Amino acid sequence: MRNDLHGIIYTLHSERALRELVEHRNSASIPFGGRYRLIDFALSMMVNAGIHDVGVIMERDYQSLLDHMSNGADWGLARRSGGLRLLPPFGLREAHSGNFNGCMEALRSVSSYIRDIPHENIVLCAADWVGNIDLSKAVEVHMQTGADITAVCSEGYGHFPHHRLVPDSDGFARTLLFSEGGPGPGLFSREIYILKRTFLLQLMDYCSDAVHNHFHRDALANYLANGGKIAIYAHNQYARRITSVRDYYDASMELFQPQMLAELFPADGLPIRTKERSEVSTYYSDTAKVHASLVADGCYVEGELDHCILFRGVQIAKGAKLKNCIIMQDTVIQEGAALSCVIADKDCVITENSLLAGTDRIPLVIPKGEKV
Amino acid sequence: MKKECIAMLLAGGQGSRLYALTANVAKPNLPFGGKYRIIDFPLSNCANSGIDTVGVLTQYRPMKLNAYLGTGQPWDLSADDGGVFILPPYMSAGEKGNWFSGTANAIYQNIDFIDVRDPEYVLILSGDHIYKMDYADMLREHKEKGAACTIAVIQVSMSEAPRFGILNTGENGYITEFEEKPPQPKSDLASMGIYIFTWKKLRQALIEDEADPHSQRDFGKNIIPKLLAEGEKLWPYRFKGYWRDVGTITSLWDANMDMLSPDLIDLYDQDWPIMSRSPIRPPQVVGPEADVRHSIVTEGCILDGKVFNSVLSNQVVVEKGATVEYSVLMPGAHVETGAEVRFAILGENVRVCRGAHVGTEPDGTESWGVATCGPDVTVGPGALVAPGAMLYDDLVAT
Repeated sequence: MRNDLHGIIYTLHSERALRELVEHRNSASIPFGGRYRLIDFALSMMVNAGIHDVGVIMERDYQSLLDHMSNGADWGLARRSGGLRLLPPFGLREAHSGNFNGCMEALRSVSSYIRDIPHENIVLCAADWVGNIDLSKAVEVHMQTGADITAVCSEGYGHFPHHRLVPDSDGFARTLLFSEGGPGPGLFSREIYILKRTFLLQLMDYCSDAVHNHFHRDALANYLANGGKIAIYAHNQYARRITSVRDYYDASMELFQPQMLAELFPADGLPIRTKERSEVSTYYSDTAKVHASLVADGCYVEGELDHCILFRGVQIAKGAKLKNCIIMQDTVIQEGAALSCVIADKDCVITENSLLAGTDRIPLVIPKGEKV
Repeated sequence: MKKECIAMLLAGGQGSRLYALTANVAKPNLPFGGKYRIIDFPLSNCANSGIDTVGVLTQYRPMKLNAYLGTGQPWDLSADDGGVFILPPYMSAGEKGNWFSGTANAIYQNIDFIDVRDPEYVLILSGDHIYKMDYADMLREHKEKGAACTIAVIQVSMSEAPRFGILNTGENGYITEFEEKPPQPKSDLASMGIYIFTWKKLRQALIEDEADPHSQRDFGKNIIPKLLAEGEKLWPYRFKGYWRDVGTITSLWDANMDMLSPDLIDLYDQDWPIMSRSPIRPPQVVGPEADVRHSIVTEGCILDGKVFNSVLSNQVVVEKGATVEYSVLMPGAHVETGAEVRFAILGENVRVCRGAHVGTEPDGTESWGVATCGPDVTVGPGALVAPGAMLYDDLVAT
């Protein structure tokens, strides 16, 4: 169906607490859930809401992101009119390291692109979240209220630093609380906003200097201080920002709760799309013992798994025992290795009889391509 | 537009010996080996062999096959000047239009399609075989031997030979005789139903064959014997490796079980990937109560029961307390708690309800066989599907 929407996904400066996970990549392309990258959630939500024009503003270390998205065909975004538009950080006037301090700086770097957007409304979405929301419902609220800006908020609370919006009795929020830690008043911002294009341009004009870089702290705060109001679409679906290795580990382990899994990957509709690979099915041998695990295609499992997530093409040899582990694409675990609370990045080799253990508070991360 | 070699894939057959499984879909579209459909094998072989133009001749229940093929993109067959072309029977001005009356007639009716590409050679494939083959190597031999037709052959045991089209060769290695299912075979070289023709020669033979009122319009029965009789050079291309015809329930079940032995056919080979169109589903979930061993499992499956020696396509559900052994479960099959499925094939979206039993272990009797449930069938709570049964409709416990 035709609509008047344009999507912008922004990827920012990766949090340092993500450590080895962002050594070779931006947080938007961290592998998650056995076959996805974080950005798949943002891209899929846009596509599922009928948005066929999506710009992705990329921060530095975007090689893996480029490789992942390619021309957007796997999300149905390889189109003659519209489709995926990749926006690497080279459009800046001043010498720039490629790190954006905030969303407004990222938007500023592609201001000519935004000025040329023919659509009336823009859906702005952060890329480092896990969650699957029906955005068409949020768009409905935005249209019905005729608001300049609608925020997608969650009724749950985040364990991670987040912004909260406190709605008044008329349903609009005029108060914004920054970087809250735990439960508090109002709703937490899912960092998805629907804005009138003209309104976004106003915000950008206000933030045209190098001091005003942040969407919440600078742009929204100023707007609210001058009598602005934000419409709210509240949902109670699973949503979580990934800002540290521990967040990543916790979010991964939450996939073993059937409710969470069903919210992220509903059986009927709102599919999360990702880059396709030519893959065989997964083979479990006679010696395999698999207990509560999430396994992608193309794996070869001869060992024991308990609460593990295997990405595509992983091999688990005979006698290997894994508990609470996340093993990324094409990593090989050799015979007799015992791992617990380990996150092994892509293309690692864990050699015979290795013993590796982290804890659920401090999971052990094996960087991409390492041989242990 | 000129191509050296294009492929024509015969995908119009009903697969009548698969009964309920192909009542509503063409055989090439049948799920196979977990991730695949049968047609993925010849299509991937084409792509891997560098053949970028594939005409797929459809006739029997083609809707789902057409949807599956789409633009051919999953097999890298969507190039601007090539790709997958679906070729159904069609009408021409002043004619009534005809169904394909045989394998040769199907190609005859598409002479125009081939002429436009103006190829030197045409590769004829069928959509019901499981194998990996480099057609480029076969073409190289075809050219080297100066043959009008090269037939891929595989060595079979003399006892199996009467089931195949058998080729006899002369001293120089060329084919001297072709016998369809000979009771007393003179050789053990069986035709695999894969041919490369020099297009000029085939074109001529097709036109002449069409004029013969007694012809059955069949490659094996008419075209090959005709070329032999005319003294053309026919060369056998000897294939070594895994090849199975999956035309019957038993052979379909057998070949699926073969996929559990990676030494028979290596599907993990990165240099020769078998590609497929996959639905968008999350990884498979193996639950806390699951016991999955010696099995193939595909994305979107949710398993919390026992799964042994089985091949599961995407979105199969095996509930807690259910048992699946030595079985082939096609996409969306669902086995409820307490149900047992043994030595069976469950078609797409089959539901086996609580406490139902489908199939049994071999009991040594003549009548034993693999139990089969056709697509969308529900086996009611506590119902029993006997070994060797072929279930077309829902079954309620008596």
